[in-house]
Amino acid sequence: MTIAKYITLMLFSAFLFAQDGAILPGQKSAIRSLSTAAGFTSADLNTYLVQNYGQSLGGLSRTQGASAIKAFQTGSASKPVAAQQKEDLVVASILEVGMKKRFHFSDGSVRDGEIISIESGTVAIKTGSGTFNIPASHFLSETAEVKNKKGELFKGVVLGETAEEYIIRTSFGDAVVQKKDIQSMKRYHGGILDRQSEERRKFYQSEAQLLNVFMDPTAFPLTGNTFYISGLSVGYGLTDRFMITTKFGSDFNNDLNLHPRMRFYHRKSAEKEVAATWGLGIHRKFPNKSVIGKYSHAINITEDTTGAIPTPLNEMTDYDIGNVIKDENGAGLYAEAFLVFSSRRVNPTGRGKIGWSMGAKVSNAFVGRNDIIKPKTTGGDSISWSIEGKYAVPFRTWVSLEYDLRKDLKFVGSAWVDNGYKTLSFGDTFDDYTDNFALDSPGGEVSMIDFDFGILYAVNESFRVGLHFQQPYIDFYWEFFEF
Amino acid sequence: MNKFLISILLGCAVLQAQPGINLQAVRDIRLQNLKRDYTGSTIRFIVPGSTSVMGVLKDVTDKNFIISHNGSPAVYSHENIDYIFIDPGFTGKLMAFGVGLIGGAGGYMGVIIAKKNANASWKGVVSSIGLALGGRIGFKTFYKPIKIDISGKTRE
Repeated sequence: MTIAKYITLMLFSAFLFAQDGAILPGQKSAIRSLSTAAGFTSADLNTYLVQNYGQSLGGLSRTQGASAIKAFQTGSASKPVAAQQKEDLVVASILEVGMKKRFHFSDGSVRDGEIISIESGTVAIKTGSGTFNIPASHFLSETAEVKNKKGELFKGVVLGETAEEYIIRTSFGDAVVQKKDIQSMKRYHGGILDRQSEERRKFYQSEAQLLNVFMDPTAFPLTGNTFYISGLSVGYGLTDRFMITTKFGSDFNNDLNLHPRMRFYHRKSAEKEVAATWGLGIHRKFPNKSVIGKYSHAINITEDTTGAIPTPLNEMTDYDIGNVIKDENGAGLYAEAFLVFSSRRVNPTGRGKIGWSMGAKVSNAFVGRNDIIKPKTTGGDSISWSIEGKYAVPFRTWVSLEYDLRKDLKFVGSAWVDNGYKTLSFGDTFDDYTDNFALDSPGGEVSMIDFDFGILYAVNESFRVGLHFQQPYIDFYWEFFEF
Repeated sequence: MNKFLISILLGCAVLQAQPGINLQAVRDIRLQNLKRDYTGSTIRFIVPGSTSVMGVLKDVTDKNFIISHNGSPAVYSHENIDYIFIDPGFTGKLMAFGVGLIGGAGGYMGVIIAKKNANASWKGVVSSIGLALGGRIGFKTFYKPIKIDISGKTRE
């Protein structure tokens, strides 16, 4: 690769790492002045930040800084009351026999267990390591702030948690919040935000909700009024079940294209979500050279000699697309359609979710395919499409898998059968992409049954980056909610 | 000492009283959610005596479900019912079949790519295996009832 490519890669990496760096000096200054205006002392501010973000001012990230500024500007940041904090730290207000969960204690210890009896203010708790008799006053209260997708905010004591719901006692009554409806949640033990243990140990779902695994779609579309941009396309969720994307590289080359996607079946419970989606892709001027490039291994060159064996175009060193295409600038209407089924369920370990998708895609790329290639090369060798059954229809079927490793990290894998797939090295993929912001190289090694895997890291709720071992190797995806 | 004992007794009484308060409040909310989300849907539940009842949910009152059986309403007390099931319908079956079809198509495509000049037996066997596997996964995924908790339990 050239130096320019290395520099581009480094700049890109720096850009990615810069997404959620440390708080900016301007943000610090804004938080200080807004908090002073709200009547906070330095100590109040520090307490507020530690309670709500688990960090002091200097330790906040940019996103947290922005959130704190917003809280002060909207007036939702309330001054911490020392007496109340003390009360929260004293005791859990509700303890009952049969309560089975992770308990936090005033000395900082944590135990998973079940309350088997409460007698004279002493609670007997049975854990995997034995039975302990602990004074009720040592159990820390467990409170939570839960925001659902409608924007409702519930604050109160966590009475219980099932696989499907949180039951929260608010000041105005008990609320049962379905986990499937939760947008964000903060959990407090003894009044202190618990970011480290609880969220890492057990989380309901990860930051990244996948629309695609690598290049293949899942049956879960973008949520309504959400915009995204990735390395190859941009898209918008018009409703919760209908979205449209377009490949901007092709758009800029006069090949305007739209890819609608419609979820036509959906069932969701807190533990499981299943969906089925159809999708279309229409390109008004899809370049013939892209069709030839993708299926170059299905085009045979036969030398003008008796008994010559046909050789696929991609294996000919002295031929390229220019030698076989009839019209270098030719283009035609291109359409593709796919059907995909997906399922996501809560991981039995309690750490995020596991999901799979299975789909099939066909296109009209082979309609009139003989009209886009010359019958003979200038040297007199004949050119023809292979008549093998595997090249009768352009198709792709795939099975993909997603597995939450952590709240911000996913393992993704995919296996496919595709009669137009060729593997490309990283350098060739980079050249192909930077050529026209599309992946349409004629090169590569034919590999019609193959698989790929990698990881996807959610830098924050809206931005993620992925690394895997086949083209395009690097994925990035930026989502803008309520756009 | 007497005050100390009274305090402990009162404390215990408060602690013991919590589950009773929670139960009804939580159950009421769950019943309201059921009414909001599933009125008009076919539901199934087991009444005491292990009898399974199925019908279209018309209304949920404080004490009863109003269910429609073939157009005629029937009232069932939900006092002793903790779970409701929503069975998958014909669409669920179609989805499962769709997953099977994709499995079969994948098997067929796989064999014509992997085996040169694959004969009809190969194609048939591999496609059928793909269809059966896909169908099995599809049925396990798309053809399962949803279980809805309407009990007042606040823990697993």
